[in-house]
Amino acid sequence: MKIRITDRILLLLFVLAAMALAVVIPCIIFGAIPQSNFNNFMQTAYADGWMKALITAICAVVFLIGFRLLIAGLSRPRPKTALLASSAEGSIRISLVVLDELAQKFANTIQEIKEIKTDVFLLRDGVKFRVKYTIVQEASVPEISTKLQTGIKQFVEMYTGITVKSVEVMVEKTSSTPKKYITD
Amino acid sequence: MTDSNERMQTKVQKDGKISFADDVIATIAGLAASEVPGLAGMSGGIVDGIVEFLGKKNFTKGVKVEVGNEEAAIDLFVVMEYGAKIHEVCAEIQQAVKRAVETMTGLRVMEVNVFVQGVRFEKESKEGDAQRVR
Repeated sequence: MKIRITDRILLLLFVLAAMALAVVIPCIIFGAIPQSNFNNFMQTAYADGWMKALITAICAVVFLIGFRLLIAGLSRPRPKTALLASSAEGSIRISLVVLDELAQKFANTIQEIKEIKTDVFLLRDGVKFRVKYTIVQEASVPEISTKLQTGIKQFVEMYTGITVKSVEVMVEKTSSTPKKYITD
Repeated sequence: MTDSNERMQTKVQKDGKISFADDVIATIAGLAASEVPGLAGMSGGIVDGIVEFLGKKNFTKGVKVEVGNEEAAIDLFVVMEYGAKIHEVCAEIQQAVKRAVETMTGLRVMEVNVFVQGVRFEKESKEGDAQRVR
């Protein structure tokens, strides 16, 4: 699941706050921060209105950040789906994640491809794939690219019945190291 | 996931009422769907996962039911087996669920909507197949 940039920033702040607390408390307990300093701080916190307000504000911010992250973590946005068929019996929809996995599954069968990233986009009358891959150095880019385009289209259409309008292919980089295999 | 268990759907017959809990319809639908070849399983939410973790069989997992007085609409969230033709299997699921619910409850099934949430890939066979190393 992709995390939004704002949630990443909040998560960073929350983790830093937790880490700070995890450092300060042992320092107090084991005397790295003298007890007198701690006592002075607590007396000031109890007595000074501004200090109370500041501490309360910091705690409130940390609480709200934590709450926001909790909500973000629990709520899962429904994945986008593409319509496969619609009939009197009802509709059949497929998650774009599944289409992405099928494209990856096919691409993994091509030995000349070392790494691959795929994205799938919903169109009005079908779907579109965008593929970025790393090719081994000795391989022919036009041949592999054509193989990917026709192969992904045929593979996905065969197993899902959905229309693949286009497969955009981009060679991201070449790799001098050959693809490794594990064979049992 | 299903609607509230508390809700009972009532058909008024000449000799009295026949009531169905939502879970009953969801269970019938879930069982009918599970018998269709090519279906790997049903895709449930967090509650379904906890119920299964506790060891209780959950036949309503991945099934959402909306029922009126005489009719029903059913949503199924499914995971398919890799290799099965998804659109064909889903069409079979629609027919199987509609047939089962209409036969067993007498309700008219207005629509059976199928949402494919995932594909289950079996482990690569040991002979011949290779895996990518990252």
